[in-house]
Amino acid sequence: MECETAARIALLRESGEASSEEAASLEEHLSACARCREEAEVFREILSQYRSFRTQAPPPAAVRVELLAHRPPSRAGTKKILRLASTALATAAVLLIAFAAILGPRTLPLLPAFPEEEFQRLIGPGDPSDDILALVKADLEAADESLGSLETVRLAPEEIFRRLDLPLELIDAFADELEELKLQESPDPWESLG
Amino acid sequence: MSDHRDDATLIRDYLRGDREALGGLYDRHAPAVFGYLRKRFGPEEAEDVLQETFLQAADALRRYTHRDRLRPWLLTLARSRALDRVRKRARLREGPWGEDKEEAVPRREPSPLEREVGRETGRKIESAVAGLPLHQREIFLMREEAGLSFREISLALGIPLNTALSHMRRALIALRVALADLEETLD
Repeated sequence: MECETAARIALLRESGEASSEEAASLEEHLSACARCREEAEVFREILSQYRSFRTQAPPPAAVRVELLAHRPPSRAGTKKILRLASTALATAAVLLIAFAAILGPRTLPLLPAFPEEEFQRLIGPGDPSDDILALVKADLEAADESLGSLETVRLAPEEIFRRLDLPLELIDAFADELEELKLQESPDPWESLG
Repeated sequence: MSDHRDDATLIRDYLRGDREALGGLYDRHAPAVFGYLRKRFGPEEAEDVLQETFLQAADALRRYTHRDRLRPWLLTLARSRALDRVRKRARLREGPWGEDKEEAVPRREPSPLEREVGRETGRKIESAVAGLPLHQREIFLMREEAGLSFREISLALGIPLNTALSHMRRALIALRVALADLEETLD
């Protein structure tokens, strides 16, 4: 082992990062190299002195108080999230109902998995309601392009909330709003058939 | 009383609405971040940057994925925010190490230990550290004040592990020279 390597491994050993094999190789080198042995001893002494004599100040308590009082922007508008999400998903629900009407009565197929890569591409650092809108919009566009194919509508509300790491307890409140919106906005599916 | 939950649990609990979990993260990591900021950028900047760092972290935790490496992430945020302030103040062009030609040696208050017993020694040692070249001082303070491992320092600064180790070794060699001068002075 060269002295340069020994010096690096000595630092890793001091920080607890050296493997047992590295430590053994280092010991072997130190037993034969007085210069490296002396350097390792001096470095230990320097660090010991620094740790003994350095000044330390506790972090300010006021910062902790401010931190605990802080409301992150993503959590600040639960009602806004519900409003925007329920409008977007209500639109998705309307489309689903319309498709079902066009295709005739049928059981909705199981939703296949939403590709993770596409999911990550659509979500951003901002308000999660924007994420919900982006996800639903992407799904609706895909559904629109292949009209009549229910398989392309891939996201259930639970899946959206889970994937965005939003509290699932919001879904109940959301489901109530969605139900109300569906009743208000969805057309009578039989009307379109004339 | 210290929180015994690990970082991943504290983050999960905070995201589920437990605000004291965020306090637990602060109690665990703020001393290291604050210690680094004080010595690296000076006590005047340290408190403001500490607050900005943790507020930014609180907002970003939902997107944070490396939950076993929280402290290096916090140090990266803190360093970035502090350098932003330095740049705005100095309006100088900087390299990757945030060189600031006018960066002053951080002032500090002497501790009671220094006043009563080791005044000269403590002052000299911390002055010696403050006088290190910037990249050596950065590595040294991340190791000794923030308590990062060398692998974590490498991650936080985006440099190879061997580079971090080399800088630390050179820092210790420089301190050896400075402290040798001190011993001669005291003798």
